[in-house]
Amino acid sequence: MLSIDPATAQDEVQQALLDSLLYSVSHDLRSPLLTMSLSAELLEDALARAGVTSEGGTVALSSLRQGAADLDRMLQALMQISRARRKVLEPARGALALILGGYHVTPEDSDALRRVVLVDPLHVRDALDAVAGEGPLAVRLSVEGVDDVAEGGRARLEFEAATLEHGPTPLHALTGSLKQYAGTPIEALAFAQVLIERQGGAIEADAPRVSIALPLAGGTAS
Amino acid sequence: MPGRPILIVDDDIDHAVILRTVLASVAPDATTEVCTDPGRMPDVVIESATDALVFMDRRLGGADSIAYLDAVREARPDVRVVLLSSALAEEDRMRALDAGASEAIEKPGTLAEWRALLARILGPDERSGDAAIRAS
Repeated sequence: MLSIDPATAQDEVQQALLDSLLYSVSHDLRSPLLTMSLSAELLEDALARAGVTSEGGTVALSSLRQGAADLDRMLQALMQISRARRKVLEPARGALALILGGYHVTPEDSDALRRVVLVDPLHVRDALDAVAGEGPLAVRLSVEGVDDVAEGGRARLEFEAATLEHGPTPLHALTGSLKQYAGTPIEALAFAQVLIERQGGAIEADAPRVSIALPLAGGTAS
Repeated sequence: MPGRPILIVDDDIDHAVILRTVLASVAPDATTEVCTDPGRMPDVVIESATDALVFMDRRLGGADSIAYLDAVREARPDVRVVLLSSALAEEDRMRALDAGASEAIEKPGTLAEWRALLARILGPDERSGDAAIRAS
């Protein structure tokens, strides 16, 4: 007979509720936000066509537009996290040499870059690209465990995200201050965190240091 | 040559009016009808004018309007449906395209983006037509 642990079942219900709330907050709130921001623009257009000039009106419309843009930025961040939690993931793998190509990598040993990890390489790459921006990014690479993830094998990437001021993870930082982090590389890191954790990895932060742990496949890439 | 008749289906009256207003500035001669009653779906689309261009909101009365697309495609292959949503995930966009939408797009946040989007969708040949803009 199949038995379900009540604590597990309760946790799944809570996760489903959280997903539903996150989806509603991020998606449903954008609709009235669009109404407000577009209406402000239409009003501005109508006043201009009517030849009406008002310093107070101009300031008010500018503030309204700025507030709407800020709110949109924060809702977009929540939408990204909602999408990461709901995204359908296929089993994926990638060589660390491919994931870290183009960055200044300091490997712990010469074979580390030949190891293969069990995550979608794009999820890691997108996060690193966001943090790097147009500049260089120094990544320290180490390998934990002797074999695959079943034997505790993990690759660890460590680097600095200059704009990160909070922890213990990028997701904690983002949800703790949407105002500060929405639309920044930390949002991309939080998005990657959700996806990577769903694939058995982890991202931690000791601001400004970030550490990404990726589950290792056995063996090395040829 | 008259452009395609346009139908806006959105249960959010504000969004429908904004879209109609922007359409009027991009295609002042287009014939535009508006439906804000989700209870008329999918009949309002199936009974729309020949070769209609339909701007349909993703959620109508709490229902997922992608579910209507199969019926529309089967009954009215001449109708072109553009699905609009305040927030659209890539998976949902692909699902809408598979179901027969010609495009599935997140609603833009600025008037300039709306105008550029509508100008692209309408194309140079479809920015003219009957002078009437009426709501139903």
